[in-house]
Amino acid sequence: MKVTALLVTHDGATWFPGVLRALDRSTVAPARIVAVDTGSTDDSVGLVAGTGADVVRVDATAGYPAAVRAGLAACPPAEPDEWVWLLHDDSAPAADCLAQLCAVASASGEDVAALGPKLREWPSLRRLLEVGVTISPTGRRVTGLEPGEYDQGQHDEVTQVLAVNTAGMLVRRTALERLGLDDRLPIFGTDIDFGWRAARAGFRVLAVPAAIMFHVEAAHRGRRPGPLSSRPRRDERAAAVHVLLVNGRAASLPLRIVRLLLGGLLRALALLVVRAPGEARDELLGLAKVYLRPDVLLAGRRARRATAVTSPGSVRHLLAPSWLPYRQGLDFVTDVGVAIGHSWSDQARRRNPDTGFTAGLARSPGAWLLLGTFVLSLVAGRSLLTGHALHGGALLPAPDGIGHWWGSWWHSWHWTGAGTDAPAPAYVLPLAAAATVLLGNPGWVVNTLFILCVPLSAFGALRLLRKVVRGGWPPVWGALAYALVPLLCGGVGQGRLGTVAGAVILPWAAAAALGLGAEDPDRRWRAAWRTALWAGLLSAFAPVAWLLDLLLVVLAPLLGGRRAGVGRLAVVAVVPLLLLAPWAIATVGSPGAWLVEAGRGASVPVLPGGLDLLLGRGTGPGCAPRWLSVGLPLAAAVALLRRDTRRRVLRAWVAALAAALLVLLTSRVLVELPGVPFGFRAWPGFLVVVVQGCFVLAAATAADGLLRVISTERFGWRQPLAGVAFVAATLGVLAGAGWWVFAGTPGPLTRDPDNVVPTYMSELAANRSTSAVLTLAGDRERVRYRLLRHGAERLGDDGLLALTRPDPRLTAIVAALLSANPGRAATTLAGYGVRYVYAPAPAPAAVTSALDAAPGLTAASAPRQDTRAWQVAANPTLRAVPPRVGPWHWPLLGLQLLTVVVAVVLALPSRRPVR
Amino acid sequence: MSRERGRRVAERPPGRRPRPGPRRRAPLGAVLAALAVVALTVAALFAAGATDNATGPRPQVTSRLDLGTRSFTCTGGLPGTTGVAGTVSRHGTVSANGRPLHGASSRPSFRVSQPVRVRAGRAAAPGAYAVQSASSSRWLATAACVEPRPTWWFVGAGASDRHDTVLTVANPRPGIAIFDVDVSGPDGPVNAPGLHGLTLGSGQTRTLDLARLAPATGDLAVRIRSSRGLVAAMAAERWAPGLIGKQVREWVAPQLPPARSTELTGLPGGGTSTLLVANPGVRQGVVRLRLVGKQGTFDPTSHASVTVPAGTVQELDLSSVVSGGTAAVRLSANVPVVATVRSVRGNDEAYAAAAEPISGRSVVGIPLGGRSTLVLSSAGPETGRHPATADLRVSGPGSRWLMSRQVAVPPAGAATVALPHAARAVSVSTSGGDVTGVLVVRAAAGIGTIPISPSATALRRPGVLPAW
Repeated sequence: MKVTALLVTHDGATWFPGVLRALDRSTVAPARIVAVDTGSTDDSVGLVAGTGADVVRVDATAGYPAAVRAGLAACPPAEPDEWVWLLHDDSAPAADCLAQLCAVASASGEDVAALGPKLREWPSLRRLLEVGVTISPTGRRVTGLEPGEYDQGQHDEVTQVLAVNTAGMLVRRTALERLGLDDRLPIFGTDIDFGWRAARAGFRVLAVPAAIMFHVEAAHRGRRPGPLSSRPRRDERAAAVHVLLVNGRAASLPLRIVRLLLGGLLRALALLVVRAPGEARDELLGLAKVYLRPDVLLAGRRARRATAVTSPGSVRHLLAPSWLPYRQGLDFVTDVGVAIGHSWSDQARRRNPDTGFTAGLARSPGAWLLLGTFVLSLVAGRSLLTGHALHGGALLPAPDGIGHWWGSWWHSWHWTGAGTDAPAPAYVLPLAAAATVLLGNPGWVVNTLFILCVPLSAFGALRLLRKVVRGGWPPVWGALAYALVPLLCGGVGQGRLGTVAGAVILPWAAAAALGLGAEDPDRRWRAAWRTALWAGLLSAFAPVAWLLDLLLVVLAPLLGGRRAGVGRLAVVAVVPLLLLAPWAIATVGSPGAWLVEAGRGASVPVLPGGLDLLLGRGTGPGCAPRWLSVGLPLAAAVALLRRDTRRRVLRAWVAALAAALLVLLTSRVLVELPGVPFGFRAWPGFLVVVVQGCFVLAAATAADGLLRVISTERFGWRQPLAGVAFVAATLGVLAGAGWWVFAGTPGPLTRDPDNVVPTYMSELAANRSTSAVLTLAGDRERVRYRLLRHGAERLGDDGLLALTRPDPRLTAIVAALLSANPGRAATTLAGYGVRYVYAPAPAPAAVTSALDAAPGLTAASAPRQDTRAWQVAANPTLRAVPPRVGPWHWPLLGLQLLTVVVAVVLALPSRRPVR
Repeated sequence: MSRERGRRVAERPPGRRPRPGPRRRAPLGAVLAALAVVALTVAALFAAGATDNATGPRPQVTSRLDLGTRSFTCTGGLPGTTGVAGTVSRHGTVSANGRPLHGASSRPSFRVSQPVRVRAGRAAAPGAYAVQSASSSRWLATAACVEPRPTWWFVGAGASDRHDTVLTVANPRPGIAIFDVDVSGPDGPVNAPGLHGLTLGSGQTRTLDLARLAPATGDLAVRIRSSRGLVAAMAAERWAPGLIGKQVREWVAPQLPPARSTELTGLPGGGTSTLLVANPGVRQGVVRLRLVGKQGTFDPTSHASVTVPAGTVQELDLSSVVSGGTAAVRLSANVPVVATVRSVRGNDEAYAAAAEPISGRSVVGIPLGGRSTLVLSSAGPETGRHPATADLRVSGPGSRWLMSRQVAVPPAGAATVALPHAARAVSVSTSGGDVTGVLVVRAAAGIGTIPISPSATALRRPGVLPAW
């Protein structure tokens, strides 16, 4: 057998000498060496000429197939049993490589067209690169090896494969000349395409692991510049798609076209999400390169039909299995999970270096804190564990399905009440997303927030304090002290959703803001976007958080944010407003709405005094006794005495001052909302939580290593004071927890059924807008009416109705209904979609006597005692409430969505770009 | 001792802590800054707590007076009933069954063979009146035409052959009315299954003969209560007082709802007087009575109290204690009771009615036939009060005022005013105390009384505002 070595070089001066040396050392020398130079500009030409091989020069733009053709043309005509050994200028064979290949070639039959060696990494490490190669249904090169696998003799049998790399392929010359290499694949994919065509032509391709070749894979890793490989990723993808489409079965061609197109688009999208737009563009350009030239595809398929002998299905056992892409995806997900798990166990091991993960967890006080507070939550919330929807105080019951919240956010016209085009409150979007994640159960979201408020807040606070403070016990104390604040101030008992959700989210926002002082500028940008996202989420539940955010941005130099930079601070200040865009525009007319938290405003009017605010109490029902929290402000004040932490403690106090100034603003402003008939002072619960949280931060910072500091300092007046403060703070937290467990959850929050309307009325109204109920309650002096369109009002409707001015026409109609001459009032009422009029207990005589005599009303069933109900005789329509669409709604919704997507993408951690 | 660089150094004994170095003073600026931040924070919180109210002023929406129309129902039920209706207001029209009643004729009267609906328009409503009367050679009956109410009480009805009461119930308002009738007698409640859940459409009238529907002996108390809508009801009775006496017809006066203290006015005096007390509650009642005369209120020498078991009607003969000078009987009981005094003189009977104190300007019409006297009695405490003043205006034909004077009603006493013959209506308003009034009509055939009820011209309608 005669072997002609065909060496294609292009600017390979770096590795070429190695190749030549290896060729010299080969035990079996090829009969002839032909070197084809494709327009090299470095001195590889001279090196080649010096070896005594035949040199053929081709143009730089000629691809690999053209170079091979030119090289073969320069050889004498083909002899029987002549083999061509294709070599790259960065592939060096082992000494016995050609010998092994020839041995297997001569031992196998006529149907073997090509043999390939085992490729290992150059320089000669024992890492395997390829032992034959195939292609997956998505176009990826599949070697069947684990990445970075070491050669330990595990793949040492001669196997039939789809293709072997052209670096080191020993191919029968007749087969090579008959099948040829596809000109459409100048660099990538040539080998797989050749192998596939060879298999279709009835040949076999063998991988011979005994023959070893060392390969650099220069073009693939982008180390070789050139006109043909300016964008290796694009060309690689284009080549893969071309190979799949041109070689596959005709029957599955349409499916494959669609699948590859969708796969490419998804991959481009994913690359955009991880902030690699260049790679995404390459992905799409590769797709376009193939899909925009269908004539090339058709010509290729025609050409293959000419050489194919066997059926397309005969190749299938050589292709990668069809489930491989899913397995790769699953591997990716599990890799991520394993990485996260490892990072957790690493963190735990850093704290307790001698113990294992579970033992470390069992000994970690933080884990016991979370477990303990979880159990205590279930005990303390025992009255709230079962029953109807949670409601009471400022909390309206959650809707039955997620459609209510998604619809509120999406639509610009709401049928609530007498119809309103006010935007939904900002917290509806995160609640809807959370409910969707929890399998479409809005009630679970609300119940979890209120019943598990303490463990959730403790978790966030623990994480934050562990970043700030190094010790073991101060973070645990601080987390518990902070987590009890929303409870003790009455936020949970009064159903204050804004305070509870704000307390849970606040530590995460603060932890993200800590990253604004990181070393790496890229990490500071990520931190800025993350802080903006968390601040936006926080402002959705308590809009005053945005005002606090602005104030803290202004005070950033005092808070240690000198390194943050104006751009990042601007992001932190402005992006939360954009995230609240649809709701924010409606508050232009009533700026007081920024001070009102989520929930029904002015439902539980309270008036906290100065001492109450200092001790973290909002007063009202469900509020703990004041003296339980005396220790916390005291500890925060005493924390300033310690010199080495004074700067950090002072920063926490500055933040507390900012929040206190906002509390002062809240207490001075009488909020006037269109839908609320009287002015009221907003509940300062969230700001109280912020102030107490800053106190916790100050005290925990100073408590770190306190015992050591106390013992080394000279005894003076500070030590007893610190001791007193320490004892007061610890006892206060324990007493607060004790009150929490024994008092249960006092306050108006309850799971009793709310009998706002009879059940049959709310069931009829559930899916229709023309079955509304008008409720009338009051006495002989004044009667208050409420139009309930879909049964009782639900969480999310409170914000809508607060921003909607009541319809004066409806007031006039109800007044006419209760007067001596109702006239056609009942028929006009039907124009509002009202089907029933209901007077809950005790039904005032003025209402019952007037409505009994009013024309157009007939008796309806009122199941409960002392209540009365009437049915409107006319057919309810919605003629009197034509829907209005505000001009701002859709642009602002788009802006909000765009900001969310951009912020999430920019907040994700950077990954090292793949070259 | 150890050697350290050639010098002997005393070894430090173990266990003593190293002495701390000299303490550096903290820079004054940092201390001041810390104090300032703490002080400002605490000051801001205390200033925030110094607000005075949690909410602003609530919107003031009050009830308003709705001067609507009035509708009276002259129920009839006695043979030869004639109704008289009109208004003392200068403007407005009053119509009976849709036919306007002109003031130009001598007396705007109409026959009441079927129940007649008298309607006074908005302008006429404040001074409107409607009364009905019926007489024969032996008896005279008078009653005010009734306006719709949720509850009616009649004491002194009968449901036997000799003493039978026929109830006439009407629904003059738009919308249906549903009502129940409860009858109780000397032995407790009377079983009357067909008298519950009766329905009246708008403008409909129903007649209920108690002798057929709830037969019972003795004097009965009847309560009509509407569960939906309002009804106008009147009771007409037929009675033979003696074993072989001729029949007496009278309207049983509607009473006020049960109360612990009641004032019964309209005692013609003379003849026999019987006190009938109904106790609708569940506890036994003890009723004490006092008599109101011109000079004051005094206890009777005998028959000063009566015990009424729960759910029954009891009677007490007051013939010996009630004289011609007695203007009213004042009852006080430990449980709410309803009572009347039936006076029989000759063949004529009259029922005393409990009246509410006159408020605003009340108008009562004067029926045909006989001479009318207005009796005003004051219901205040007995000593230490000034006499109440009643301002009377008597209107005559052509909407002239025939008489206009002030009458002093002695505290806990009564005053009587004789009215001129051509008088059509009396308009009374009082000041200085609670005064109840009754119109007593005397004719050859007998005596009739019409209590003066407070004007219900203006209805209080509640203010309406959206709820939050």
